[in-house]
Amino acid sequence: MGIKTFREELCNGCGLCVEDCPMDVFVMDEATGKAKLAYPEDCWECNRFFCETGCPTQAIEVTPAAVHKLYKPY
Amino acid sequence: MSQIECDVLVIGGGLAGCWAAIRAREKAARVIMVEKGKVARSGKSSFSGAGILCPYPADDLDAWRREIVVRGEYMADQDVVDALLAEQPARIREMGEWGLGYERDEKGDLLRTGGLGSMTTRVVTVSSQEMMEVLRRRMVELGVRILDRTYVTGLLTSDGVYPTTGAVTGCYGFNTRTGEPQTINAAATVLAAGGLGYFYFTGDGIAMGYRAGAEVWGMEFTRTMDQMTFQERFSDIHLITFQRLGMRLYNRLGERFMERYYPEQRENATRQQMALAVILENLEGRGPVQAGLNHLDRESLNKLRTLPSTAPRVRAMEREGIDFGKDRIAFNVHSGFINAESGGLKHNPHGQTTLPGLYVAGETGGFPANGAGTIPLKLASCCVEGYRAGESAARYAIWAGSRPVKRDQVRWLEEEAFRPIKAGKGMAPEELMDQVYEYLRPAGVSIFRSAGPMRALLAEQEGWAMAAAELKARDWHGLVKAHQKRSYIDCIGLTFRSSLERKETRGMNLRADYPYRDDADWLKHIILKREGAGLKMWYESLPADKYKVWPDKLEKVPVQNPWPQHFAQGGRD
Repeated sequence: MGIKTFREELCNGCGLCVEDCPMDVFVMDEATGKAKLAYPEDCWECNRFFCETGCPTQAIEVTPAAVHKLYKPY
Repeated sequence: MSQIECDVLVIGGGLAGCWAAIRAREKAARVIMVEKGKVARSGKSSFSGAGILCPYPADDLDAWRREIVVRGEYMADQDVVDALLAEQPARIREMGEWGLGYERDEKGDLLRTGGLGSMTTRVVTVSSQEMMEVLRRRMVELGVRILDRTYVTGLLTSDGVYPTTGAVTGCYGFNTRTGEPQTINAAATVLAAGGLGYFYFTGDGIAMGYRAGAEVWGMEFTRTMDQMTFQERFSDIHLITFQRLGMRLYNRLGERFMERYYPEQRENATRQQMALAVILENLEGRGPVQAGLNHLDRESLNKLRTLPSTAPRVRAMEREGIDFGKDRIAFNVHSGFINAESGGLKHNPHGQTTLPGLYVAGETGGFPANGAGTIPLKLASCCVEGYRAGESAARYAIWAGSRPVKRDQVRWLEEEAFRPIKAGKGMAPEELMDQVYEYLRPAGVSIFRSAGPMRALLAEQEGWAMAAAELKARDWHGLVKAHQKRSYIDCIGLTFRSSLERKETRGMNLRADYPYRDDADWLKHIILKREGAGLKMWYESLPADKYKVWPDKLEKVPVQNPWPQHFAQGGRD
């Protein structure tokens, strides 16, 4: 999984991760006013880790380990 | 339904799109940019290695041109190469004036280094994230209207039909978060929607232009082994930094095999050269391959941990137990991710496609300066070709003015756009893509190509295309993916149709059944164009008489790449 941990209890609802992720991995949860992991399967470990590095409360940890199936030509 | 009017519409917010929008806005009043992600947070440019070709007027530009054209195996549009060499200094200077920081030497001059595999040409390094932020800020200052999270499903045409015999008049799309439809009526449109790659680099722009009737070129040079990994888990983004710091590759016998294939460049070869060498070591029984950084001094290793381009990834890999200072690390190449850096919509050196009102820049246009090769000039091409496309589009917009949107066309584009979400049944996008990748996986199918397997692949592709037209989406997010997969599968068809036609090995068109480059017969483009429900294909020769760099002898040249012996007898025509 690209998003290793998301600690919702630390989330202050600032929405930066929702704004930054090109893949919509996070969306705002209207009910709680916090971010929600919506499409974790689409995290492509983007190298910039915009969500992790931008998070003001360190609620997100990304792992660069691939979540996708990889295909070898040999 | 909302409809917006503008002079110039730019589809795609990467480096090429930003340059096009900035230049267009300097000439025209109403410029709109749409981006399926978020400008400065998405697009390939935001994640690129960010070595930008940086020529100076005082350089030996004849030597630069020669290196570029020879490495592109003579397929480059040399007028575009000359434009790069002449205009890139101004683009570099302007980005600096807008606040972009370049790597500099102790005297404060730009620090220029050799790009991968390059002996003559030089690049300057920037942070790609900062570069995209600077460009976004500049667009906002100039008053470019940016519509983030807007996915375009199709172009509008003045006659309301595909393939059009008229002009392109804007686009149709929807907001990826709310599903709200969006019709944009534009006097001129610039497609800068990237190329074909992995995840969300799905060839949308190429497929969209092709469907509307634009001519496509260079698709046979698409490469199909774009991803490499450490420990089969960690993808290789910013491999270039590892390479520059001195990464070594070893085979099972402990041999630094890159020296055997590329005595000059060794591990500083291009990604493609490296991928081919690793594949061959494995196919010929000398795998697995390992990457070594454990010979590096403490300072270099610390650089990996602190450079903005590699720090998050490297630190996270270390958290996962990888010790770069101690261990050699499994290194693999993966297939199935396609990259079309040398194919796309045909255009002239001013960004004009074969459809009136449609301009192209960046990877969607196939980087004509690149030829059949992959030299580090893609970012510079985005700057220069983006600028030129923006200027041409603005001029056209002012001259042509706006034309009305055809209501019928909007209706069928809307039906097509939202069909996956209304469909009760159909495959999920991921399910289809697993079939596609699994099929493309073996080296003998997609990498070392030959006629028999390609014919079978194309028959298979027709089935994928039908399935792609009937994918199911459960929400707006899934709807984007369904359209992306459709684009991707269209591009696979264009790739292998072109590849089957080019009966020689050049660039990444590695024909196991034609293991030579044929300069006597094949210094020409393969052009594809949609005609009715079918496809028309023809050749266009390169204008040898006006080109400065050309082969001395027009003859068959044996392949220079590492070459697999056991594919050599693959089914020839």
